[in-house]
Amino acid sequence: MRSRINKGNIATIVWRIVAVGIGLCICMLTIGCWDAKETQDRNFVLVAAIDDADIVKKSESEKQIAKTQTFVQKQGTKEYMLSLQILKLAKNESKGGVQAEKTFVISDTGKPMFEMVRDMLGQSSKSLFFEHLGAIVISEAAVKKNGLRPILDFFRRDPEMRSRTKIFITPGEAKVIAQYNPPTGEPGGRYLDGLLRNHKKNIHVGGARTDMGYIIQAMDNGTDYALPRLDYIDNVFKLGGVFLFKHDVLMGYADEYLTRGIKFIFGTEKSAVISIKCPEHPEQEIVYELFQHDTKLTPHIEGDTIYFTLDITMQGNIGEMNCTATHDMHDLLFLHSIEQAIAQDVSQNARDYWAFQQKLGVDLPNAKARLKGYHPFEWKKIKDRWEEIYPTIPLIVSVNVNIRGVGEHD
Amino acid sequence: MDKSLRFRLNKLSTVQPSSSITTTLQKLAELEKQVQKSKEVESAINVVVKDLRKATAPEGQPFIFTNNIEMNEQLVRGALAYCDDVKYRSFRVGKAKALLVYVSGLTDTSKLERTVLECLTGRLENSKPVGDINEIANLLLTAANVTVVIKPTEAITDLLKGHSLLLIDGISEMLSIDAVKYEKRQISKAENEDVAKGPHDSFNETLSDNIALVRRRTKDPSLKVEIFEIGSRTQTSVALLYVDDIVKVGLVDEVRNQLLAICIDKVILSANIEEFLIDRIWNPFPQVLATERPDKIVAGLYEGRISIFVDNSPTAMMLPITLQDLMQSVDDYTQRPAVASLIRCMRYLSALIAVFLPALYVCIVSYHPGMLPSGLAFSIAELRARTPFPALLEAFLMEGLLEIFQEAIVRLPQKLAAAAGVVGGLVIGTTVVEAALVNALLVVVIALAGLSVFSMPSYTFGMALRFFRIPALIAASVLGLYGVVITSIVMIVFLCSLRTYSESYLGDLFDITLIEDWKDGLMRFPAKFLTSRPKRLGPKDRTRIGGEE
Amino acid sequence: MENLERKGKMSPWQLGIISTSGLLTARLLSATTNVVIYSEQFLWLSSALAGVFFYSAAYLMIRLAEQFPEETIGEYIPRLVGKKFGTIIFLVFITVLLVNIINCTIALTTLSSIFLFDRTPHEFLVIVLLLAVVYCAMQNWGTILRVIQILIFALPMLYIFYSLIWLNFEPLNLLPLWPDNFIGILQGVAYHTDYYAGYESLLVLLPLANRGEISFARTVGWGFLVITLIYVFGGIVLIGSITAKTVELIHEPVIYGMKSVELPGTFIERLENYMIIFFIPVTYISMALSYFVVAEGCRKYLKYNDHRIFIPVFLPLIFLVSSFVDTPQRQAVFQHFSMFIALFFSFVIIPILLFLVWRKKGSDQQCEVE
Repeated sequence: MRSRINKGNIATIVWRIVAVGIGLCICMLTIGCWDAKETQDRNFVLVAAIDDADIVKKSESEKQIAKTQTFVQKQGTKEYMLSLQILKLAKNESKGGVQAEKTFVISDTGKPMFEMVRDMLGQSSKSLFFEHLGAIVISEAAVKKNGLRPILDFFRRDPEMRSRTKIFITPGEAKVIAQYNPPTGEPGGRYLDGLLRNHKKNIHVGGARTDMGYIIQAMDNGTDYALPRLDYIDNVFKLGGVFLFKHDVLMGYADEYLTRGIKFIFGTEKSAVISIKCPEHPEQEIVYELFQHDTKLTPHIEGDTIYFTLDITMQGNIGEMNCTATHDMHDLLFLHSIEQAIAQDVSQNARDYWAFQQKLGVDLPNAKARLKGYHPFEWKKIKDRWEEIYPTIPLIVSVNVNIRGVGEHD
Repeated sequence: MDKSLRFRLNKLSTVQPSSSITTTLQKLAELEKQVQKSKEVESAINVVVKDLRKATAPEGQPFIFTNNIEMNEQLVRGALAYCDDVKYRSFRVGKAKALLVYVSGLTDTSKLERTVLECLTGRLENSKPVGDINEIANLLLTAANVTVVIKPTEAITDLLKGHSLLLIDGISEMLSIDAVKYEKRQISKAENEDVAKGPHDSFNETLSDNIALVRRRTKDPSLKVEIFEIGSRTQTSVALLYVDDIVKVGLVDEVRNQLLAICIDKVILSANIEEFLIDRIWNPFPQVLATERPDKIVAGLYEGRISIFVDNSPTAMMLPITLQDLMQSVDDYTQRPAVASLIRCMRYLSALIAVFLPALYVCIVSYHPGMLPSGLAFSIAELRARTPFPALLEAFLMEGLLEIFQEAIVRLPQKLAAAAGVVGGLVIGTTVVEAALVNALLVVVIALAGLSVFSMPSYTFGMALRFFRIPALIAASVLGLYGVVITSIVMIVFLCSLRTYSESYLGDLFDITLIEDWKDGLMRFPAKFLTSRPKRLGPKDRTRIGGEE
Repeated sequence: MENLERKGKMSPWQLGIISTSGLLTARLLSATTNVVIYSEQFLWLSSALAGVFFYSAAYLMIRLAEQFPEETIGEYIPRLVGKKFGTIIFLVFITVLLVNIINCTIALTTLSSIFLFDRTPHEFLVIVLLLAVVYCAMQNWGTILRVIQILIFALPMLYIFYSLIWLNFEPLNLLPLWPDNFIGILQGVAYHTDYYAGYESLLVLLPLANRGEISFARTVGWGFLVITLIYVFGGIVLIGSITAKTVELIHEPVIYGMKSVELPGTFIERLENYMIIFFIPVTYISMALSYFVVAEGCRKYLKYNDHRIFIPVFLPLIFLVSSFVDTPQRQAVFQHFSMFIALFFSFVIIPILLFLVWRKKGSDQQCEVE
């Protein structure tokens, strides 16, 4: 054997040994398949609903939580109830005109979310699959308990989660939202996901920077954020207004009017409707349909005075006129008066919101970062006193509204 | 009356012992033994005779011809014993006896009568002696192709090719007269490489016809044709064609040496030769382009390639080839350049689909359903909820069905082909899905992959793609997307490592030193821009358009 | 008329492509975390300065190699510094390349393990990747060059996906533009060692290149420019879309940035998976190139005929180290080690060698004059 090995063919022999090794390793490839799991062998989780377990406990019949919805744990407490909406794979025919349910809900109580998720495998014949998670609904009570971070931490760390999962805060119970079957026949998670996508046209809904990715970013940077409010009353959903958070603590609720103010400052809507009173007939309304909106929030420092200017430019059409009297839509003066009325309304709305957030101590437009960005040297001098200075900073709004058209009909 | 002859029931052999069956059988057996022995002795004697003749003959020859025609006839009859299709026609040329030997079925007897028999019989007086063989060939015979043959092996080979042998008493040499005529297939349409717009003639099984089809397309004296006989028993004619002033230096010699080094007893198909011309014998990718089309051959010759034609095979070989050659079609040059470029890009995409689409299906369904949009993921999950098999097994089941169906279609009689199409479509497309064995999406995936294979211009290349589908499927089922990517990388390395006559199998694909060849690679630029021959084949003369000023 | 085999040498532009492919590795996806700790939102500035910094090291290596055309570092080092020191320096060179391969393996398999798999053992991914790399490294140089030229097309595809992060770009996240953290930015430059690792291969690859009309320094410079621009724009878009603080806290910031991109109405979901698909070949060619350079360097040093003998020699070591370094703490320690050894080799050893060469040249000229 040795005599056959020489410098000339040693490479070939070594290559053959490597090839045999490769062959043996290839045999290894046929074992294992640790992560192979067929699509139909996974339970698609579409909505995750988190409630305060105490409140839910009170609402359950006889104040008893079913044994299937809890487990014995040495560490942690039974603070939250996690409910997961799971897709039903079997094709259901509608029975007697009633839409068959596309989803079902399983729940558990505990505190670490991960532990509850794993315990829920005891209720599920298949593994739970979160890659198509459409929405996370958290009850207001659950948020007020320990803040948002303990609730979202599991979703933050798991690589299966999507950054663009929508998060809602509901004043009532989150579990009933997970149990809801939309009339459109689609699964609840997809319905909720689609619901928030309309924020670009609905100025009362805050949905631009409320995905899980943005929230986590805000948490990392210590900035304030807002989450949309979702109401569920009499089997009907309604989105409107936002909850404001400062350092993961729920500070307050901005209603639809204030949410409009937020959106005017951010300029995130693609189309919105602003209704004002008619300049000539104050008891009637004129609706302005906005389709282009640019804003610029700029910090200024003059001596010891810090102020922000908000420049808003709007382009839009007259969407609706409820005036009983007819107006000449070619009258430039009349149109100009409408523009001014709209500008005033927008300006007031923005200022109202600015004042509201200052009162709460919330800095949603991230004025701090803007000041640091535009005036870094001055910022260094005042950064330790920011909490004192912020509530005193005025906002000067200038709005320029243009009416581009009056619709198909004069 | 004698008592012994009275009425008695008894065997004849008791009365006539010589009529006993047993004895007869014994004697018959002995006779058979004797006959067998005599046959053995005869064959032994034949062998001895052959050896004795070989001993006196030059090296490599079975015997040596003499001046005596009877002896020569005996030698020829001995060499072609039990060949009843070999005919012998004796006649006289002047004073001398002559013998015409030919194989009926391979020879044009009317031509022989006109050019040989009529010329020789009656031209010389019976008393006049015959001159030498050259006189007969040059002055008397009117056949177009007459060769003087001395060696017996040449004579026998020529005879078996369809030539006729003329033996004359008193002359040891003989004449080989070309009067070949046999039944052959007419020039017809290419069965496997039909095109929408382009010539429709294709090669047939006759070597001379095939060479003629090439010659008709080019009147270039630099086109050389070398013919060899390969196969120790079949002596099949193999022609080597090349354009002398274009082909790369050394390439012709290398191919010629490889052809001459082939040591094989029979050559029946061109594929028999092909396997001796390639170095990586287990490689599934074709390293020689087999084509039925003369236009492809001529185009290849004028790029610096070599063509090999094998007698009795309608497929000509072209080498060296690259991946681009396998992905090109004649239609690319008959369509507008923009359209042809798009079709070519689609073809490359089809090649990827043919190999990787089933693997991608398996890996997405088994490992990464998150990559699908939610709606699609839900509907696939619902579809698959009914089927019992995991994705890999489903894929293998469908692949197996498709392969069986494809093999059956190739071998079916034409009358049943239509019915088989319906059955196959119903079975594979509908029934399997309704029986919930596989889901409908997988049927679409497999069908698309199958169609992509058939969109390849080269059939053998398509087969290679089918081959690589299996390891891609296995890799996808073991390691998902990671496995598919690693497999594709390994395949690319494998393709890059292939060489055909020292040139990379991938040709100029993404090689920036051959960037000028990219004009006719993935895209097909207009003819105005294709002014030079591809550099990757190392042609001596690279100018294609425009003369030397 | 030449053909590929007979040529046996690559053109200067092919060397440029090799440099580009050798430089971009899987570390792009994770190295940003360490850099941002120091440079904060000036990641892009650190990357730009690092490009210049490491190109200077590459330039020194090219100048050194040009003093010994047709020879690799293993061949001229013993003549320059003696056999003992030559062996030590050669071993350091090999270690730098092996460490680069191990870094790529760890980065790519960790990435795949987190985002593509759940329970598949990390070692399994390592061995599969290494076997594929070994298969390429076992081929001859012409084949490897073709593989690189083909697989480098994954780079523009990768960048197309990377550039989708611009959809979430917010200029505010990059402000202020005026840096006030110069020390941090310079520290970040040092942590870019993993970004730009791979140029050391030039010391073995230059003898395989033809000296053409264009200089090696220029073609390699173009390679560095492409990579630097990728890192600079990548840094801008990454910080602009997911903020410096998030990048600091995320292990795979680029992947996280991809996750934040949504393309509604298209078929494409989970863009990070597409990114990983295109990242595997880009890292693969870097690894295969480094592995080949290690084997070829050893071959030239020990005067063997075939480089393939040395491939299986290093395989167990690479596998064991890659499998062992699987926790964040071990990865941090290993990363520091790789950074220091690479910087030591590029900015201490190479300048010393150049100095010795110039001094030797000067004394030779003096001898000639005398």
